[in-house]
Amino acid sequence: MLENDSIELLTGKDSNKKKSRIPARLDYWQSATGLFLAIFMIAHMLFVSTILISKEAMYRVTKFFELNFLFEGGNPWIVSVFVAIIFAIFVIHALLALRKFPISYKQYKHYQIHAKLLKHRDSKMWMTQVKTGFIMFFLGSVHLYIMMTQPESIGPYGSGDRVYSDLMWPLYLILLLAVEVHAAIGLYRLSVKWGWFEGEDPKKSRIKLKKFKVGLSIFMIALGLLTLMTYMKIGYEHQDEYGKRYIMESK
Amino acid sequence: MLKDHLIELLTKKDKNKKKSKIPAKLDLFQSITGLILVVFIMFHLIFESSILLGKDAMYTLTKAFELSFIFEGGEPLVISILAFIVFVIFIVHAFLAMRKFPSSYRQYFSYTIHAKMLKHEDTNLWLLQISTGFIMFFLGSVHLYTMMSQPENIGPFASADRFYSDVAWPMYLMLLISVVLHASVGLYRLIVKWGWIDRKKSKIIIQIATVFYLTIGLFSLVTYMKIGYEHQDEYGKRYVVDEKK
Repeated sequence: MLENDSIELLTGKDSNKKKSRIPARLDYWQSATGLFLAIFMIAHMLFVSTILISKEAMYRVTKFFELNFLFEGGNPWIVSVFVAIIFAIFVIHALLALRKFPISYKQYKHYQIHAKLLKHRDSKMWMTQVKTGFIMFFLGSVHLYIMMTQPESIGPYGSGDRVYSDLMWPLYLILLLAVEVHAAIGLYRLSVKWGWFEGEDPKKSRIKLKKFKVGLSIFMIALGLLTLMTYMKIGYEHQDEYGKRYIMESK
Repeated sequence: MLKDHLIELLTKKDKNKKKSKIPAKLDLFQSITGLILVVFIMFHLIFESSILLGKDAMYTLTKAFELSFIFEGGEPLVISILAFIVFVIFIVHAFLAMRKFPSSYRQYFSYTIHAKMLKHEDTNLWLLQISTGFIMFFLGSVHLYTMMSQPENIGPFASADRFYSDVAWPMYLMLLISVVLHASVGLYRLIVKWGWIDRKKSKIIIQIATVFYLTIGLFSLVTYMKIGYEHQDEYGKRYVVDEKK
């Protein structure tokens, strides 16, 4: 066993003279987990932004996700379980994507020089992904853990209190920028990597994809900022009644 | 400029035929930030275990850290600033220590085979550092941000409410084990790396310290859990020192 492994280490091929397929599989899983998270983030943003319609709209969406059509009054546990799954995918994606970091000084230097020589915007995106990914190691976890353990506090007032009185807004602000840039670039790179939407002329479709990427980032950040400000306002007005939950006016 | 970089990249030496000193400097900063964090966590766990001496002891200590001898009633902002500084050092250390991760499949493969062939305990410690370090990327941040943004919620009842009612205990349990192991191994490796004390002696001392810190940490955790459980109906209410005693 150790002998076989040593052969692979030295020659890059196993005892059947085949290259390992594990790196390719890891790449595939990195793409799959990333795609899932990107789609989740788009849906998530849309649901969170229901606060722009009204408190009642956001409350209804919250209760819907607590499956209030099955459980009387909703069951926040559902959200906990769901967040735990997202958290697990987030950690796996971090572990897999970490492989792409220019990890040592030497690798970083390589990257820098190549980026300068190539002068291609897509090479620079790589560094953006690394930076935003690194930021999210820290900030993504804070948000996910709180949602996982305190799902019952999600709601127009609960979330408003969190954003304003619990001082989560600086974290949400940085996280919003990092996640929307990372997700849009990630989707773009996935499309290029696997040749989705390539069409007949890859050069033309790439320009289109790039426009879509920028548009998506701008739209999501704008929507996110408006949403964040709305929660800030609600939290500010609600600070004297911190902890009190929203009750829907019955008809 | 680009030409100089290219020369360095290809020959691994700059135009004066000298190797870059940056990796060595990064190593030094990794050691320094790590050492600061180790010393910090050693004090932190002892202070936090003051709950084992009673709620009054823990409360008095909390207020002392809020500099209650300068500001009437204490100023939680002091804690915010301290937590922020620790958070920054934590991120810098994570950034520097990440360089030691076997980051690709190939590097990981090399590592496992070398570890198997060498059969040396210290080589296995490396993977322990990486695993616990990776866990703390996520869990350390949760704790640090909460302390930074809600420093007023530290105290016998407030901390216990966080442990029990806010369900922070699973995170604290995993974080405690990770941080104690990571700090112990880190300190040991620092001692070996910079040749401070005899290797065998330092190993024994550090093993004793690890058991000690895990024990007081777990006892404190259980104590906060118990207080939080009993206090759940009065969640959010703060501790007040009984003056008559």
